Amino acid sequence: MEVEVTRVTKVFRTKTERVRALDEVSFLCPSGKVLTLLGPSGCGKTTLLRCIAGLEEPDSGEIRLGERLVWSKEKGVSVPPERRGIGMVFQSYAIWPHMTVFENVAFPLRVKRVPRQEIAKRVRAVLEMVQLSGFENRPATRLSGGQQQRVALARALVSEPKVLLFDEPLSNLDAKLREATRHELRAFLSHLKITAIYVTHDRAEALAISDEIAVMNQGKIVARGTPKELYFFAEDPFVVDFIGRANFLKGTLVGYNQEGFAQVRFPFGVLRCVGQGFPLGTEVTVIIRPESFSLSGEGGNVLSGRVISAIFTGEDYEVRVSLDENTVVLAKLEATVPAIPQPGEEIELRVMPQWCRVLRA
Amino acid sequence: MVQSPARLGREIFIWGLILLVSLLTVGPAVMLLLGSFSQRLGRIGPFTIAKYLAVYTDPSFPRVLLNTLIFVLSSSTLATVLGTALAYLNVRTDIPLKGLFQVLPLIPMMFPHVLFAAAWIMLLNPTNGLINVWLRTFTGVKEGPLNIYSLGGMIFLEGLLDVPVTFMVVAPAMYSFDPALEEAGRVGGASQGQVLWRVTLPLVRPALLSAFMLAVIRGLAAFAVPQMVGIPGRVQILTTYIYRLISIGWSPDYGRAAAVGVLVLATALVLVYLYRYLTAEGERFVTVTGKGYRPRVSRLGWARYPLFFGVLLFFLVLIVFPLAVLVYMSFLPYVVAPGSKALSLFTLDNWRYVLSDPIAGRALRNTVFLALVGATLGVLVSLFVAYAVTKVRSRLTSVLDSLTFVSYAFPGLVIGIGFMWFLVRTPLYGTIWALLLAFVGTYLPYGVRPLGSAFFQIHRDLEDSGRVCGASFLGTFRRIVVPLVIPGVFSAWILLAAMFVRELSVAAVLARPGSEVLSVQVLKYAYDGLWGRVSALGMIMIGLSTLLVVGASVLRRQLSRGLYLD
Repeated sequence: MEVEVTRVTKVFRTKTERVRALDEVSFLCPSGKVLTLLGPSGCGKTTLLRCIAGLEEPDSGEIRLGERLVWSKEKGVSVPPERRGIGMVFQSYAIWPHMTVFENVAFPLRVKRVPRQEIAKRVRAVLEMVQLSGFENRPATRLSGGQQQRVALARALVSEPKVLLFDEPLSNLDAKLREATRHELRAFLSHLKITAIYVTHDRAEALAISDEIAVMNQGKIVARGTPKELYFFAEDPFVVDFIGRANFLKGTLVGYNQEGFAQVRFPFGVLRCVGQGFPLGTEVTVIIRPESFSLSGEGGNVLSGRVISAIFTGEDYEVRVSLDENTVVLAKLEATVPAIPQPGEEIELRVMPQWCRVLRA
Repeated sequence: MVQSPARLGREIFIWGLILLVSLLTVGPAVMLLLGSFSQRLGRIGPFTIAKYLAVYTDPSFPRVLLNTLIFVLSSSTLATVLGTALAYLNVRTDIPLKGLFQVLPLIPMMFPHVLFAAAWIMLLNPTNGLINVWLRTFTGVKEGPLNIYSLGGMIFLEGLLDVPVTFMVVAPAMYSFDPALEEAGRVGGASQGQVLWRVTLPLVRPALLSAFMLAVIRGLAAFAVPQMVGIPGRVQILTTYIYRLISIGWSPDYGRAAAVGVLVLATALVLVYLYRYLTAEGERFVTVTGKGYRPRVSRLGWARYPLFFGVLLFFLVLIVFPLAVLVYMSFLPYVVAPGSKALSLFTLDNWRYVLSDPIAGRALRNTVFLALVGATLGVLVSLFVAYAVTKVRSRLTSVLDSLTFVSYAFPGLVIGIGFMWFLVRTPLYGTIWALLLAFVGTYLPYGVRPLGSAFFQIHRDLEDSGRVCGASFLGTFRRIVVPLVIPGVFSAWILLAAMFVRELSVAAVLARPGSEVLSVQVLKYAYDGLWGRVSALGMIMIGLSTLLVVGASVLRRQLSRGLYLD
């Protein structure tokens, strides 16, 4: 079932000011896809999700689930959350502490007055699906974080909703478990082919789980695309920066070479970059992701500079290199290099022209 | 703007609550004001300021004001100092037998003030008080030497009775600040005493202030102690002055009582407003957070046992002595020092009399009714009010919040007079229902507060997920919210029930033949000097509230075990 949000606006009024939590947001999530709303805290992503669930009322706009209009201020349509037929996993999991695992999962069926035997059958099936068989009679308070998260998922799935909503479901897990759960959840969602809207502020999680990502900032969707499109081809500096770390270098476009690469001049030298159709002499911004640098390799740009600081993170070395008085770049170098570069050392960073991108902005 | 039906329903619900709460709290306060400008009880108007003139030109009135000021400030200071010392010793030191401190908050629930005063009268009255008799035989002085019937005696008793309150305000503050703040002081070169004086106490200053303010508000409303020990000693304060106007002589003057009452109520309102302002300030004191720090416990060293005996003495004075003297005296015809003479006088007459007295019997039935029905009604109203205030959160609910909070300011005796004016022309007047209504209205905040914090602890997601899972608003309330606040419901019920058993000041105004209650009956026996009967009836009162508290606690434990909430 597709989800369509049209020009939804929500304003929060505090004593002193009015905050536009959502500013005429529109999007369409195709049936069976996982769409992630990604953005910094306070960008309105959770408010948008809660509007879709019916837990908040927007000030204007329309929300449609499949063919059914569930919210429209203009047409006076307001379907309460319990009649929207959705499943939702909350950030805090919202496992009811006064019930067992079975009771928690059975709740959506209970309130629909599903016959007893069928409840038992369906709850057992869904608990098996999330690998919690045998936990039926465990009080919900005696579960680990990961188990609670599975109960929450089971409860959201048990009534076989057409749309699943996730509100930062992994943010309360510890780092290691979170990474493992990312894989499971991705496999699970592709297998179910269910429409899912997923809210997170964690870019790695968004990249891993989504079919598509909508990046939000200050109540607006500022970019939309598949994880790879956004990571490699985003044009908006905010999006580039939010979806991964990046070096932003300001220079002047001086020409194009015969391979079609743009030549951009910086105080520390000239780089070959990707970027078509700029007039000569334009002031441009070039972005290079830290992981694009290496110490070896032929045919790339070479940037020489002096190491300012270097740390070992376990996965790689993070090195800050000064190219001239005003320019410092961050490079992530594979930890297979035998020795960590020392501060003060001269270093030559290499980067392929494909990874140096001229932004349109 | 089109309102969605959900929002509209919510607003009607909140307006209904506001109306109900206003009727119970603002209603009597307004009637008090109107009454103070009226000729006689039962009819509002014609407008007159005669009552104010009569009261405020009374030559004895300045003395009453001065007494009130001294009484309130001294007893609050005593309570704050003792409460803070106990809180510090309990939370921050290695004093032995800490379990003892957990009894402290329970004492005011079990021990009615009127009985506490009665017990200390039996111990310290100048003619045959047991301690005085004992002191006389040891020192050889002819009379006294101690006299409870004095301003000092009033301050001593009221101060002690307010210690649990100040303790309960200060102790959490002692718990909830980062011990690193103190450790930084020690590392910086300060001694333990210097750290206490320069770091710890300033940090909990907001809590100290609010404890003091609470004690002041309670002192201003105090009636049992001033009536029991102040009146025989000819020391009047505002509440007892008001009570005299309505209880003595052929024609009680409710107009004059209201004219004084307006002054007391206005003062109390200012104090409560100040208290609220101060506690709001306190929340801005970022060091004291809700974070569960493990408090740093300092070693008392050589002072450990001397301080412990001090604490022990305090508990003896607060609980053991008064309780023991009540038990002892309930078996004696008059006050006799323990010994062979007392043994020979042993009698069951007091119990026999109290149990067969038809008025005492009716008072017992009425009190049980008020405790059971009143607490249930109070909890029901509080449940909805607390839900609206903590969970809905709009401009309307903050009005509701202030409305409920305002009755914290209401001195029972004064608001009782307000209720008198309010109800006198209704069929409720003179019935037990008048007391029921007045009790619920006056003590509403005591139900709303524990329930409010219970609701506050329920994460919004727990409710939202109920809605998303297909349950309606009411379905979610019934299946999820109510089961989760069951422990809070019981706490509120216990608090209210125990309070209604011992309630004296509202009842003293509203109780009429047929609607007597135990506390007022105790006051009557005490007025006639029948200490044996005071003790026997008092034991019944204490037994009743203990039974209610213990019974409800057991039930709560059973229920929350069934709900996995342990």
